[in-house]
Amino acid sequence: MTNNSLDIRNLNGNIGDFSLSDINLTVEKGTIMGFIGKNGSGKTTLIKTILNMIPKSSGEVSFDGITMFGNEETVKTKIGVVFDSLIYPLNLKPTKIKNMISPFYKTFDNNRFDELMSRFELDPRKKLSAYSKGMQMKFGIVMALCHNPELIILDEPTSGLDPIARADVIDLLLELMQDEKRSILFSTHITSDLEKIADYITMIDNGKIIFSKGKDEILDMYLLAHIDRDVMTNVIKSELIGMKETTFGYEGLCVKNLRLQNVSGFKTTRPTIEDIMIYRGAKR
Amino acid sequence: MLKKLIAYQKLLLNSIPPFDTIPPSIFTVFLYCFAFAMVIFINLSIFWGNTISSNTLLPFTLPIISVWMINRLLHGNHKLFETVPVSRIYTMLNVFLLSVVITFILYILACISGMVLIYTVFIILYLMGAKGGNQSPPESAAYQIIDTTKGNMLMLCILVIILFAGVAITFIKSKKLRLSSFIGFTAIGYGLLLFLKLNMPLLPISDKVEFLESFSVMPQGNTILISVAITTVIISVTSIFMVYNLYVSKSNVRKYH
Repeated sequence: MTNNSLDIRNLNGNIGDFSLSDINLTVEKGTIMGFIGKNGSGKTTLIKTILNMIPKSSGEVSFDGITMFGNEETVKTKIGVVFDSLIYPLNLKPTKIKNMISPFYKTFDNNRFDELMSRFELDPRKKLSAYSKGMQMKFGIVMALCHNPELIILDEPTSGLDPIARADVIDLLLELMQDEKRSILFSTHITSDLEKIADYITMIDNGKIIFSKGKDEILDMYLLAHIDRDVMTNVIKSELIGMKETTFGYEGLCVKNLRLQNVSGFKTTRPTIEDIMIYRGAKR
Repeated sequence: MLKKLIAYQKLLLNSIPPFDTIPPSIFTVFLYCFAFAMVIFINLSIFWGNTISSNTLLPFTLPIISVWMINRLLHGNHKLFETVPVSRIYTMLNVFLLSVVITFILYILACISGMVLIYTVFIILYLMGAKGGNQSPPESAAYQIIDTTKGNMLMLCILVIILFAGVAITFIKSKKLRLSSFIGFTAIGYGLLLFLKLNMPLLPISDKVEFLESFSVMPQGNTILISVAITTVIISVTSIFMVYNLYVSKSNVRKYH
């Protein structure tokens, strides 16, 4: 037993031309790890690799101190996964899927299933093919939570949801975090969701971890700089982490201790996670 | 235990991906048509005769379809069966069992379809008041005189070999290697069957070689059957061992993938 729900050490792997390089990531118990990165940066590949669905070429992955390989029964009981698209057969009704899946989990809670179906306003009498994309995603979340998992891995679960449903999912995740032993790895493009709930943020790009730090630490580390067109110099450009031209001049990300902050025409504001994601991505 | 086994079989059956709504490329369609035509041609050239029947065609067709479905299951985008908490060895054994289950389901479906077809034709002919014609079943009584138990046992061995070796090949992750293995296995299998047919005696009734009957009256039939039975056991055990190494064994996990 460790204090980490998920521990990834020096993970390398590849699928086709894409490779994951030297991934190190830790999700502490009782925390929510936000996982960001642009399309094709390796988020889903990493999730599938840690779940042993894609092979790793080297490195170690352990869940609560237990490696997946050879311990699938123990580990998979402890985790709940929501993939970026529905994995359940669309020609079946939710109740039938529940009956098919529940025998594998001793802790499967039928009452919880009914409660979550009702909460998300999902009709159990309809086939999944009759559900909208958002409803299918909500059903994926229901199925991932019914066996009371200790680690919940969510791969862009809110991408197809309307703002009300998204808020409901976020509220549900916060409710789940009342259990101090529970952790969440939450991959998403909607960074505003992470600003509400994440404790830590990890950014991945091109199969490499760019940073993995506390959310507040990251937000405190950077500033969003607005630079007037006439004061822009090559020195300032070289100090910026990603930059774009705007109507009034330039906008870019810079580190907080940058000495240029006193230069006139150089204003700074607190960035959002999205700003950091955009400019850190643009840098590459 | 049994409940879990049944649930896992259901899960595996439901994990077989549906057909893609995007139409396949012309090359893929051509490849499938070519492969299908080849299988039909080879089957007919080996088993063609007066007594060609479900006894000879089904042991070939059903396991091939079963292996093809398992191939789609193992190489689909979403492996629902891998999300539930079971060990890899449990998954492996269940995939082998699934091949038998699919074959059995297909056999039942084939029997039902066949019966429906026969009865429909019979009822239509009866309603039309058809008289005369050949009232005898496709396999005439004359051929039933020959005891085809040995031939049927040979077919059972062939069915088991196709299922076990076929399932083992589906676990190979590399598409090229998997396809090459399927082609190699098919070529060797049909080559041996053709060689066997060339050495079969003519039936005195028809003066032709009929696969099942000729094998049953073949002087070396017993020796060949024992050899095939031993080979079946060896291939089955080897297939399980191979899948264990490809899918279960940690040291070789990357070979599967």
